[in-house]
Amino acid sequence: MNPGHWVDLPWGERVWLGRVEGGPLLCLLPRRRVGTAWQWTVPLPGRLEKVRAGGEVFPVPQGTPHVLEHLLFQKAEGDFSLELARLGVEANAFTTDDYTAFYATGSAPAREVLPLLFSLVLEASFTADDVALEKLIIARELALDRDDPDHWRERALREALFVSPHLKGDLLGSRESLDQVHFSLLQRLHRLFYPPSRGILVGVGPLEPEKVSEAAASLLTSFSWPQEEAEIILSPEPKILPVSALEGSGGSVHPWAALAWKGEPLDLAAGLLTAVALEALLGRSSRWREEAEAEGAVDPTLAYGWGGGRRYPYLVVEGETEDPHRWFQAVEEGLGGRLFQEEVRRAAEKIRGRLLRSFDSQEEAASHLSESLYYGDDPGAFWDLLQGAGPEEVAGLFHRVLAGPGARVIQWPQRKGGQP
Amino acid sequence: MRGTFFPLPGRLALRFSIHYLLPLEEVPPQGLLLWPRMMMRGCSSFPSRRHVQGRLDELEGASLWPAIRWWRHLAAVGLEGEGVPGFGGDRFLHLLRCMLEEPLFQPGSLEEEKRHVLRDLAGLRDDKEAYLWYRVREKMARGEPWGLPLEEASRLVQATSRADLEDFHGRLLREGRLFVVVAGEGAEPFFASLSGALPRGKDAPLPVLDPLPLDVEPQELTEEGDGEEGRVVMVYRSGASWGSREGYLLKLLHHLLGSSPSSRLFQAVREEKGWSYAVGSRLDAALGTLSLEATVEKERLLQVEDIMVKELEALLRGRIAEEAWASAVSLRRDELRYEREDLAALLEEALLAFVSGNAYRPQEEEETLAQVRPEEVVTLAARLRLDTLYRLLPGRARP
Repeated sequence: MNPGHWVDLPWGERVWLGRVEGGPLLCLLPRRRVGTAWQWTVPLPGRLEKVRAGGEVFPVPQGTPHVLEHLLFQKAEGDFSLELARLGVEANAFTTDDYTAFYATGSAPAREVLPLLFSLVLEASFTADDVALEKLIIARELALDRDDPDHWRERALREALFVSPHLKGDLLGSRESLDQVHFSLLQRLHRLFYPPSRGILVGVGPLEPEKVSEAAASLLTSFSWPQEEAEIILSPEPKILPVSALEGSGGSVHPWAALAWKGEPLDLAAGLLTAVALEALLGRSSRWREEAEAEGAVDPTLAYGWGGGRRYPYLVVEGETEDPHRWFQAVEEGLGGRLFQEEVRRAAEKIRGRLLRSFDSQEEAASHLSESLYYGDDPGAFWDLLQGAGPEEVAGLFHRVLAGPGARVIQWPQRKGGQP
Repeated sequence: MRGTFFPLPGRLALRFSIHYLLPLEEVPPQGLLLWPRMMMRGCSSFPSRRHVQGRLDELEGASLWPAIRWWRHLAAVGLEGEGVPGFGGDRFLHLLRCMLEEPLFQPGSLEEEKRHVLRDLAGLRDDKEAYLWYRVREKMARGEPWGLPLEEASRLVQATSRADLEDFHGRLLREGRLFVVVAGEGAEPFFASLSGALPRGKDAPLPVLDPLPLDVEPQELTEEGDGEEGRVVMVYRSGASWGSREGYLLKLLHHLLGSSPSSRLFQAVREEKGWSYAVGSRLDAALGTLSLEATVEKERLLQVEDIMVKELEALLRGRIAEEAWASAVSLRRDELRYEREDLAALLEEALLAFVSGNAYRPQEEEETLAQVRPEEVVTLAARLRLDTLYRLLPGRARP
């Protein structure tokens, strides 16, 4: 066990960071609460094209990491949720563009929860029959997703912004791609990307770091893992866009419009400070927003922010509107506004306050800390970044993004005639 | 002022709810649906939503949102909010007092807000789950105003005038019973400062909200929808009151049948058959209903309904595996402990306690969990009466 160390967080809490020998990076935020939120993050992104390992390169069909995430709940003795429920623990998992994560919450002590969490993530005991059954469940998940207008909106944005098929497609895959997902591929990906040494384990709750790290180290002796290097391969994504304007039909009742920009790989500062710019220019306390809503050019569905993870991010401003062209004109006018010091300061304080409040939730704190460590940021770095945000820096970063390749996207209601 | 506070030292947030509880007659009052949203539109010292939002942003991004709850003959209307510890000082109280005492209800804002609400109502079908539950509630109410049909809600919004809003505002502050809950860091002083700042409403007992009665004629309804996945909901009445021993048993029944992946419906429909992604149950503790629900392709709808009924029947025959029972008790015990630290849950439970004429007594429920036996849950399950079976059929899939 490497000795851990404490890191102070700007609001008075502190986290303990260490690494279990041959095991995960460990981050613990001790709190006097009843329950603990755990999150184990695995460096297998939801979007990848191929993997290089053992001297060969093999393709990974779209949706495979998500199938694997589902299947880890299938153990030799049945559904692992039953095992967790005995302790009153609820667990689930999710797959993002950049990583896969498993989480568990409950008031059971670490010595009882950790063995189950380690088994959940590190044991791939599913069978070929389990794979077939899970594909049926995911087919239903895909159908449910296709019933959601947001699904078609994201598809349209990706269609306009990206050239590479793995960035255009659905992270969950498609019927065709899931047909190509096989038991042996899933097992291999698990061996390559789920070794404990590649994981990040975060716990937030009534924890004693020394005891948790000792328990983790002791548990690791039960798992043997072959050492095999693996690398994720993604075709380079060109900086250009396939199209600068895209119109289609979506599944929603009202038309929808979006302005989107393809971003460079995103760091914390760029992500936060561009969010400050958007809030200052388009937020509900801006004069532009008040006038644009009063004129009916935009409405409360106006939303903005980054999507797509940090490796292939895109910035989007979107909203429902009966008149997309008027909407584009109004939003572009809003985005062209000047960033004044007072508005920037207020927007930065707002975002900082909201982030701090989200840390109050055990689950959200675990999620924030996991992301920080996964991307190599200092936990709590957002605090200083937002505190020191000045209008020149914010404007510089923001205009750099807006100067990049951008697209206008419209979706008309399907039932009103479909493709215009 | 009635209400309660939950001091939680060291927390990074402070959350509150301010409700005026109003007994309702046969007809929903004109102004009810727009009043909460219009409160955010400004008052004498903050003459537009931009000014309201600007003040909130200055308070490190404090949040304030309109709140409306409506159960049977009782509506709870007001504002809820959250901020970082210490946000609720004089500057916030000044805003709150202004919003509640001197709202402007400006005609331009009213027309704008009407457009937004009518758009939201028309667009409800985009969120199939929200649409389904709106329709289920409408049918469950069987013509009573708490299940206001979508068309009627739109008509009501369309017809609302500034005078209606002013009348409703006056009535709310005159006849409504003010109930305030605060939870988090600094809850006690913030509660005390609210008690001096808010219009006090009427100081009279509130008619107690009872669960839906058990004598009900079951109804079966099928609606043609669109999209790929169908939905089925079976709503059962239990007659169990919030905060009663039976209310605690109903929560256990929920955990046994559908609260989590370890529950029977999830296991039987999803894990054993692979027929659904989202299947389980949901509880309405105020109305005493337990609903079984699933999303499923059209060809499997009847089979899934059959499984739902069979799982309930198996439970009625006392077939509760020892492990399943232990898990349900563990899950509820853990959930209960979490509730006592969860700001939103504390606000919700305190409000439900007030409208149900009970006190919030988590300790009592914890003690019940330590003694309760499966037979008691079986007895409660035997009392369940089907209220509504609702199917929302899928339509045409996108190419």
